[in-house]
Amino acid sequence: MTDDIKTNLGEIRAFTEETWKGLAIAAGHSAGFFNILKVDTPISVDDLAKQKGYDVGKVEKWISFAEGAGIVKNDNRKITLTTKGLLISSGSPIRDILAFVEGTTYFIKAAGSAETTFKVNQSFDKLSDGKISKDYQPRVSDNLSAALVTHLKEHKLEDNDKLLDFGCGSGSFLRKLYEAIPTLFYTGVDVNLFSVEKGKKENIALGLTDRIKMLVGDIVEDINDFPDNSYEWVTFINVLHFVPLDKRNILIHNLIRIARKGVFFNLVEAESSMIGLAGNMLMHLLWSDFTGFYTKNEIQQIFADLPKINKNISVQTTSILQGNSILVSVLKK
Amino acid sequence: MEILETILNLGSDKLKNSMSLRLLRQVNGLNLFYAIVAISTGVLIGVSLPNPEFLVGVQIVATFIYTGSLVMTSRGYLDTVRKSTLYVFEVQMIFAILLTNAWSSAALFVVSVYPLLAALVEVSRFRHLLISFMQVIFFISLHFFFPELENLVLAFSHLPPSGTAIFTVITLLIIPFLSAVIIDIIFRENLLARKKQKELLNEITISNRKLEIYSERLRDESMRLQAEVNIARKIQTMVLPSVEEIELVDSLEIACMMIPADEVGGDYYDVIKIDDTVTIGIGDVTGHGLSSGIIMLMAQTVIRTLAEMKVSDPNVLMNVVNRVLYANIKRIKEDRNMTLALLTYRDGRFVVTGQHESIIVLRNSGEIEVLDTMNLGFYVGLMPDISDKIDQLALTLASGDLMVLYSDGITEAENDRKIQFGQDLICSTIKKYQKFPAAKIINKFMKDLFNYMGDSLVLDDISLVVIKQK
Repeated sequence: MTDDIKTNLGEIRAFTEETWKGLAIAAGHSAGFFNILKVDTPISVDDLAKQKGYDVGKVEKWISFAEGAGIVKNDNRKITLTTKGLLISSGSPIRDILAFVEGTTYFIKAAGSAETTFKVNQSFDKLSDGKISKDYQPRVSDNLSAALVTHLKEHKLEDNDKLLDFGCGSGSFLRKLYEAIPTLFYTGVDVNLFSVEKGKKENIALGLTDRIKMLVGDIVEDINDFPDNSYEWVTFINVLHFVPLDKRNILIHNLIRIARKGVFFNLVEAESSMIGLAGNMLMHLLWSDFTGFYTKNEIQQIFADLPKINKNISVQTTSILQGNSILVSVLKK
Repeated sequence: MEILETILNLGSDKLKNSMSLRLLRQVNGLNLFYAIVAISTGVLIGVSLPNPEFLVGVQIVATFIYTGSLVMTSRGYLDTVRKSTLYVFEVQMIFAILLTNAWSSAALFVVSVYPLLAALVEVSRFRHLLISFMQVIFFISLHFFFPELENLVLAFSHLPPSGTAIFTVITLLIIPFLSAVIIDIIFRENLLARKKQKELLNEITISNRKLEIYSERLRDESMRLQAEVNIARKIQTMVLPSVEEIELVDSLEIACMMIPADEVGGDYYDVIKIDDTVTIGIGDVTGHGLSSGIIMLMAQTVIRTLAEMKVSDPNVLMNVVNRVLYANIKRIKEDRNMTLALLTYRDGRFVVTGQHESIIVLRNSGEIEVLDTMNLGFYVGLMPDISDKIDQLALTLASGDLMVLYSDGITEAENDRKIQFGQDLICSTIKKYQKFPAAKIINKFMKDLFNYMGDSLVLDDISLVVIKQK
């Protein structure tokens, strides 16, 4: 065997091992173990299996794997999460990492149906009649957005400022923002009627309707319904990669037009990491309306164009989502 | 004893919580006891001593105030009486002690029970202990440092030595009796309160258990209803025509959308193309839930069957649907029926039959026609035979003309001010988006409808069918 083959085999073995590890963790997530396991409260394997109505033998096997991966501690069949386990559990303080792990579940499904999802106009979302978006949002999108709240808080969001969030889904990001900054007035816009209706119900249940409004609207087609400077702040988080390529720049221009004080949006770059490259491909299999992450050149072009749109702006960038995305803060002077 | 209970409970009807009853009974008990002691002392002094007017006067005033206190608690002034009773007693004691030769008065010892009395009526024991000390110091000072003043006061009482002796006996009897009564009242009332607490606890335990049972039943019922709603929603949406089916109709551009409410309402629409005939139906079953969903499914099945059998005569169609639904609704013993409009389209001509919401036709020129369907049919499934009520209406659409079918979930959708969307707004909204393709008209229409509704929720199924002549 040549050295070249040996090196390649080693690499293949390594990424297969990591993939399997990821799959097993994703299985634990889908099974709901990470909602039950705690760092400080041990639970027996039997109780864990009983609570979920699972086969004890299979749960034991998963625990063996998780112990090997350093995710759980097994002390005479009394199981607790380790610090590493906590990071990928539902109580994780690092929400974007949790989102990546949760996202794996959907990528597995999309990859498993690759014979169909690779076809033109096909995706796993279409295969499931759009049903996956219901739980994808709380498990993945909301966790990705939640990581941004602290960054937004660093800016001067003043009392009673109006914030518009495009592509708000059911508005859970807005509710997270409201928790962090309750003195603002929030408006969410999304094209999906069902998401908006769900969000309205949640706002009513939480008594937030005087602070959070939900509107139905298409980000591209209805953008002109929003007058210049009509909101102090505009957020557009994890949505640009669902906008047709030829509409993205004009959309960014419009966001800046609508905002009186500033705009926050993020750009996901596909080229510089394996996670970006693989994620870009898998997202295409998962969503029909996914239009792709950005290339390095495209991102450079955006930064070159921004000052041309409006001379009275300053642009700040922050690396987010574990270095896989750039949060762009466009602040009006 | 009944009278005693009545007096002790004076003012209990004014209490806002049962925990105050014990205090009320203690305050009333003390005032009653004081009143009796004051009367009996006054009478005894009055009949046995010469010149007793001042001492008797003090007892009469005290009796009046204690009796008044009982009247006040009966009127709901428990808190005022609770605080004032002890002060009245303390003032009464000052006079009694002064008039019975302060330093040698046996009544002097009564001041030692002030803190105990304070505990009984639940006021500050420390304050009244202080008052008792101050009184003692006052009497000592009076006797040793101002004997002339003491003699002056005693001159008013004209109490002979025998009188002092009688008063001492009375006082010595009163002190243990007073202490015994106070301890007895506290003991009895605490026992009573404990008993009541136990009864209350039992009641709460029983009520809690009942609540648990109700809650379990409610949860079961709620889960059952939720399961029903989920099944109904599934039934309702699974038989809706697919985009691929609808696209088979090549001369018409048809787009449909249904948004089921939380409590699925029973809206129905269908587009069935068999050979050259397109059957379009829209309807609404009365009521909500599983039964409505099943009746809607029955209607869909009958209409589909008739379409497959190429029955295109609207009268026959509507009659058969009515007979089948009537018989089945009777069998399932549900008080349901449905509004239903059926449109058959062949060779560029629509024939409409059945009663449902008005049909809106928007001509390419912008002219709007609202076609009332009230006289084209009757509630389906309500009567065994509606053949004499069925009529039909024919119409054609030119290229670019639009026809809009909808359910009352749209007309009755309310905004935050409870104003319904209504038919006029349907017309103006459709007109606004007239030039768009049918599917886009639906999306734009729904956007406007939802934004009109603001924070109001979808309370009834919303169905919309837009047909555009190619």
